[in-house]
This record gives sequence, structure tokens and C-alpha cells, in this order.
Amino acid sequence: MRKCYVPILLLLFLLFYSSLSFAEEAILDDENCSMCHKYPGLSRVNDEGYLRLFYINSHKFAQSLHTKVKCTGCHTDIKKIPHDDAKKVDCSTECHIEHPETGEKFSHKNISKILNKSIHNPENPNVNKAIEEDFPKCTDCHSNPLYLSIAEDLQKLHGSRDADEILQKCDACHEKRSFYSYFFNHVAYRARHLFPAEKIVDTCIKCHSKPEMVEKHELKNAASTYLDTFHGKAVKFNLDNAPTCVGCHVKDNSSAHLILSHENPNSAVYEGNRYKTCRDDRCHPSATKNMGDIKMHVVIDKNMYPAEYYTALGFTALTLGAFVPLMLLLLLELIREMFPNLKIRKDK
Amino acid sequence: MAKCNLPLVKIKNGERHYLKLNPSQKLQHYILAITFVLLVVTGFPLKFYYYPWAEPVIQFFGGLTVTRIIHRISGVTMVALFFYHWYYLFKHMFRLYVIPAVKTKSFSFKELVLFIYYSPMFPRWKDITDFFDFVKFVLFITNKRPEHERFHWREKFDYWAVFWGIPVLGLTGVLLWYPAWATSYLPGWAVNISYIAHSDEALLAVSVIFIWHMYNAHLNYDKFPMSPLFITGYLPEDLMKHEYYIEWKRINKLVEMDPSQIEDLDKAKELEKQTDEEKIKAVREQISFLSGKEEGDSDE
Repeated sequence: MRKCYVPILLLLFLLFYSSLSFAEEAILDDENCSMCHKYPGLSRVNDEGYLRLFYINSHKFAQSLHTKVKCTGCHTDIKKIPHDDAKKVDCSTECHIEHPETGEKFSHKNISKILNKSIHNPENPNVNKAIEEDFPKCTDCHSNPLYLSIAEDLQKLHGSRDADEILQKCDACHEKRSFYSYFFNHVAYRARHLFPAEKIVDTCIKCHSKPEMVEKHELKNAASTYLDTFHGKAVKFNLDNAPTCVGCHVKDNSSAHLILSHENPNSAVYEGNRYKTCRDDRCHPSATKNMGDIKMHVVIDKNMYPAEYYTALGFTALTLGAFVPLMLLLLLELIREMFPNLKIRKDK
Repeated sequence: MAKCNLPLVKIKNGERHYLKLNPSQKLQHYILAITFVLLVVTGFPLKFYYYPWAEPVIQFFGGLTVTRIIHRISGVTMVALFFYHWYYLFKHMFRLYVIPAVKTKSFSFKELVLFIYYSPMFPRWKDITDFFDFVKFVLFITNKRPEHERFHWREKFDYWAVFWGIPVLGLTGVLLWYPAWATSYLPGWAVNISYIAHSDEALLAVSVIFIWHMYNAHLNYDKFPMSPLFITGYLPEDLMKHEYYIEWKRINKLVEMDPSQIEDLDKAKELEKQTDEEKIKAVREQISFLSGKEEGDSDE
């Protein structure tokens, strides 16, 4: 009889310690959410017919920006297991991260305040159409990015060395590698651009290129007009310091969450002040007032921008007017050469 | 035609070849062609950035920074060539007409105008009539092709189109290169229309050159698959008779009056030909000369 206790004990052991992760950086999961959420197949088709995947790769999550936050730190409405349908997370919640010095609880609510002052708030008077659901919430622009790419990213920082070589220096005084590598990632990640340039453009494009959004909100198609300019192409082809949306629409030393309407005199792209934005040291240091008048979002439209419209029209006419007749002559000549002596008109 | 040291007619393999482009003109054309191709290859990936081939082409050059540099260097070279060509034209005008006329005290502005009017690439009334005769020919109205001089209306069209294209592209190019400097003198929309003009004019130039010019220069019925004109500067007799009949007659008349303008390459080759005995003799003389010299040295 004693022998059969072994498999039962083994099973009990596995059951109770299944939440143990052997990775060095374990995620904070004292509520054992991973008990279910570690299964890749955990998913459901929701009421709108979309497949929602609820699998959390804890190793990846441990490498992400939110690794120190407990599951219930963001998903505040989960009170028991199994839980009811979770509501959408409110990013301005105070999660359980504490400032290492002051003990203050951390929250993104300051960002919400800044965002409410910007053009991305439907209550802003400069907004054309205040349709609430079209305006971006936190997760429309931000995901939970991974630190994984840090090692390669660091090579690109001028004069930097391998991440491990740098971390070695911390080891002399600080014991826990999981602590100082997290701190290092936190700072090093922000030492480079938070988003790579192309990703910034891709983020804004999500709303600012949709034709239905353009129509509804009486805007120009900012994304496609930008991509047609040299700036857009330079970002696509990885030219250093090429400006993304944020590069022009956000004032120096101000948050990207504070993009103001171009009609607001404090905006980086306000008519009279635009050239100061162009005049950045990394860009066009000798810019004068007229440079701000170079349009970055050109639409070929007779009423909006007649100069550009007539130039485009003129050159299109010139191109077709030269090319089509020449091609016609070419074809006619080729055909004629097949019958060199076949004139239709009779000799006099 | 400007007198250069090249013969007007060369005879090779029994065929007469007629001079059409002198070395300076050939070189100018090479530079124009090479800068043109470089400009297109570095410019089009930017114009058509949305096509999948754009990124690989830019990477091939080593990234966008280098691509831009190549584009600008080629552009500056092309504009420099443009100005050189003006100098070239004026130089000949002075050397061939103005200075001799002044020195012989027979200068007249009317004659100067005639000189310019009858210079090879200048459009004349004949070109217009040639064009209409050509249209009549292709529409099966007549079997007779028009007879042309040294440069026919198609070549003149290509030539003068470049006279339009390079200033437009050069000027707009400079405005796009230095937008901050440009906007210190001009309003902002000048840069916007430069952008459109530069891009559109480039496409026009490419489509006309790559199709129309290549067809006329190489692919038409006479010249297919390639005409050696841009390399040698000479055209074979059958082509001359077919397309440049008046020039063919003119050169024939000139060489009749002055046979020294003919270079008979066949005959020269004949004369150069050595018999086997002569060849062996030359080798043996060489050997004996060198070995004889060494013996002389060792005696001392």
C-alpha cells in the first residue's frame, strides 16, 4: 500500500508547486493567475465574434516594462478565481509599484491629465468633430514593449559595450542581479528612442490614415501626405534624425501626450512659430520665417493649394502631351515599316 | 562643320563611314548619359518609395545618406556640363565665324544670325516640313521619306528637350537641396512646387529618353540592335543614305574636292600586312641586335 502513496504525493507536489517558475526573473504572481493563464490554448470567441487569446507568456512578460506589476495591480476588478469577465484596464490606476525612495504609489494618471490638455481630447474646442470613440485611449498607441531587444539596441548607442559587460560593474556593490538588470533596462531603454522612428509613424498612422476618420473629422490624410514628403521617405529609409510625427508636432522638452492643435499659438506647428520647430540643431539650423510656410501635408486640390495643383496639372499635361504623341509616332512608324511601298493615294 | 583632325569619311571592310559626332561631342554625350543614369537610379527609389524595389536599391548604394550624395554630385556634374556646352557653342561661334569675319573685316550681324540659324542643331523651317512629310509617310499618303541633314527633327527635339529639362531640374534641385537658404529669399510654397516639378519633370525626361531616344538611336528598323554612333562618332553609308541623305551628299561633295579627308582603313591594313618571310626576318633582326649587343659588352 505504501508504494501507491508515491504517485499521489508526486501529483500533490506538482499541483501546489506548479506556479514555480525556474527563470531568474520570476513574475510577481502570488495570486497564481498563471495556474490557468500559462496555457497557450486559453482563449474564447467573444460576443463580437473575435477570438480573444488569454495566454500570458510569463518569460516574455518578465522581460517587459510591466514586469514588476502584479496582475491585480492593473486588473483591479479581479477578486476571485475563477473570475468574471474582466473589464478594460484603466491605465491611470495606482498600481502597487512604489517609488524606491518616497514609497509613493505609482500611477499613469498624470499622463491622462496631460492628454486632456492636448488635441487628442474630444472636449478640446479646436477639435472638428467630438466623437468620443474615435479618440485614442492608452492602449491605442502603447503596447507592453519588451526589453529583449536591449542588447542589440545598445550596440547602436555610440560607444556602448555589451550589456553584460556593463552589468558586471553593478555586481560589485549590488547583490541581486534581478534588481540591477531591471534598473539598467529601465534607464537604458529610455536612453534610446522609446519608439523606433518607423514605429512612431506606424502608431499615428493607425488613425490618421483611415479615410473614414479623415472624412468624419474633416482632416487631411495626415499620414499619406506626410509619407509623400521627403521627411516621410527619410524615416522609411532610416536616415538619421529624420523627423517623425512627434518630431514636428511636439514642442521641445514637452511630452508627446501634449500634441496641441495647430490653431493653438502654443503648438509647435502654429503658423507663425513653425519655423522655430524646423530650426532645431539636428535639422535646419538656418531656417528663417518662410521655411515654416513649406507645407508638409500637401493635398493636390484646386481650392486648398492652387499653386501645387496647377504645377502638378501643368507637368502632367506636359508629360502626356509629349509622351503620347511621340509614342503614337513610334508605333505608326513601326507599322509603316512593315509596308514600305504601300501608299494609299494614287500617283498623279 | 568644325575642322578637326578626323577624316570625314573612313573606309572599312569596303564600306564608307561618315563622320557625324566629333570627339568633344561624344565625350559630352557620355558624361550626359552617365550622370543621367546615376540621377535616375538614385532618384527613383525616393520618388517611388512605396514599391518593394525602392529599399533594396537604396541599400545597394549604402543607405539614403550616400544615395543623396551620389544624386547631388551627378546633378552638379550635369549642370556643369550644361554650362560647358554653352561655352562650347560660343567658342565655336567665335572661332569659326566672329573672329575670322572681324579679321577679314567682313563681319555682319545678319551673317551671324545666319551662322546660328544654319548651325547643325538649330531648329529650322525644314524641320517642320520634314515632320509633316513624315506624318504623311506614316499615314500611307506617300511612299517618300523626308530627306534629312546632319541632325534630323527627332534628334533636335531630344537636344532641345534637354535644354529645357536641365534648367528645370537643376533649379528645383538646388531649392530642394537648400530649403532653408531658398526660403530666406522665396516663399515657402516655392519649395513645395519645386518638389512637384522636380519629381514630375524627372519622370517626363526618363520616359522620353528611355523610350523615344533609345528607339531612335538604336532600336529602329535601320539601326537595330545598336548603333555604334555614340562610341565611334561615324555612321555607315547605308544608314546615311537612308536617314541623312542631304548630309551624305554634302560630305561626298567635300571629299570629292579634298580626297585627303578620306581615310581608307582597308588600304592601310593591306599595306601594313607583312608576309611570313618579312615577319620572321623582323624577329631574327631583333634577336641578333640584342644578342650582338651583349656580346659586345662582354668583350670588354
